[in-house]
Amino acid sequence: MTPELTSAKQRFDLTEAESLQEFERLSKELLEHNAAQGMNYWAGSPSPAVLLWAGRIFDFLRVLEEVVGFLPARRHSYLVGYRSGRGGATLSRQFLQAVPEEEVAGQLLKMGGRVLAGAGWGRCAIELDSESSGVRWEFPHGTAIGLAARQEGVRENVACPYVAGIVAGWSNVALGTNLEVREVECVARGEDRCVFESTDYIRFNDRR
Amino acid sequence: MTPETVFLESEALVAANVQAPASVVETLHRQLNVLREVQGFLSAVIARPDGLTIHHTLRKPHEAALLCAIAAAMVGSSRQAARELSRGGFVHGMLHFEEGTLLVAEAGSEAILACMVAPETNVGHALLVIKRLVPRIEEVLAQL
Repeated sequence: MTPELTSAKQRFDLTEAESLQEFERLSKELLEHNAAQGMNYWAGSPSPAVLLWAGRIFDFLRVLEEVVGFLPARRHSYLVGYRSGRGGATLSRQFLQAVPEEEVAGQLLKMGGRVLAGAGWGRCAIELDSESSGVRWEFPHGTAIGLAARQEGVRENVACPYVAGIVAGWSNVALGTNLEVREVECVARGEDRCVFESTDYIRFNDRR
Repeated sequence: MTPETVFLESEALVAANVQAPASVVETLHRQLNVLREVQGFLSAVIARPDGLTIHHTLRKPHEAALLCAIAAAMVGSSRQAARELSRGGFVHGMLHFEEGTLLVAEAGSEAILACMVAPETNVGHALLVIKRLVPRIEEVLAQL
């Protein structure tokens, strides 16, 4: 993943080779099987890890939105993703102790993109605006959840608030910010890609 | 549910809480004080339609976060019910508990107002105050 510098923006792209490399690391080096329990453990975490279809993550949103509507359902998914992103970034930060302080934010963001791709959530490019600390995570082929949702037909609302939460939690730890993230493009709405942008506060008259 | 579990769930709600712009919050603080005129007033929150806390009168932020999430779910499920039953839009909601009544109303596209009052409260009067307050909150949040 190589940063491309512009005036105030940094862009971190992840190549296909890097995505594959991260998949190998995450799935083979860091995943352990406990045969006695019939459970998997990842990266030494005491919490078991399972393989789950991306469509089932989408189902959490879909089932809940049928009961309480999209916006509250969106926030539930977002909060769960947020905890995951925040926890993942906090854990990953310990591997950057040798990195100069001024480079930690960018390195940690890059690591977020790598982990997401390696774990199968989708390959993304990340843009960081150093002046505003705003971030934009673009998944040119969509996220795994978005693609799974699209198989059910085109939706009116975006399908990946869980990923938006991960992006928000990860970015806030990396940048020391308290930003929100919303999905502004989603393959499940018929768009070509999934794009997540940070904002200081979501306004719903511009409902996305 | 153990107290510890409640804390952890609340922590999850509060962790991703962003703040509405300070100028807006200051105005909303004055608006919410109007509700203190209602005899039996206990607490009130202004929540975003997705359940995020915008402003509240409670002592503990995690209690406000829970009430906001509940209010948003109430409005959302009421809307779903209205749609299924072809009964138009949501106007207001009221839940009577043994030890209080929760009144919920929408304040435009950006907010929900939820107010908890004591059991003996004149609910009609409380709703009247809420009805007057809603357009003012809507106006404030239109500045966002």
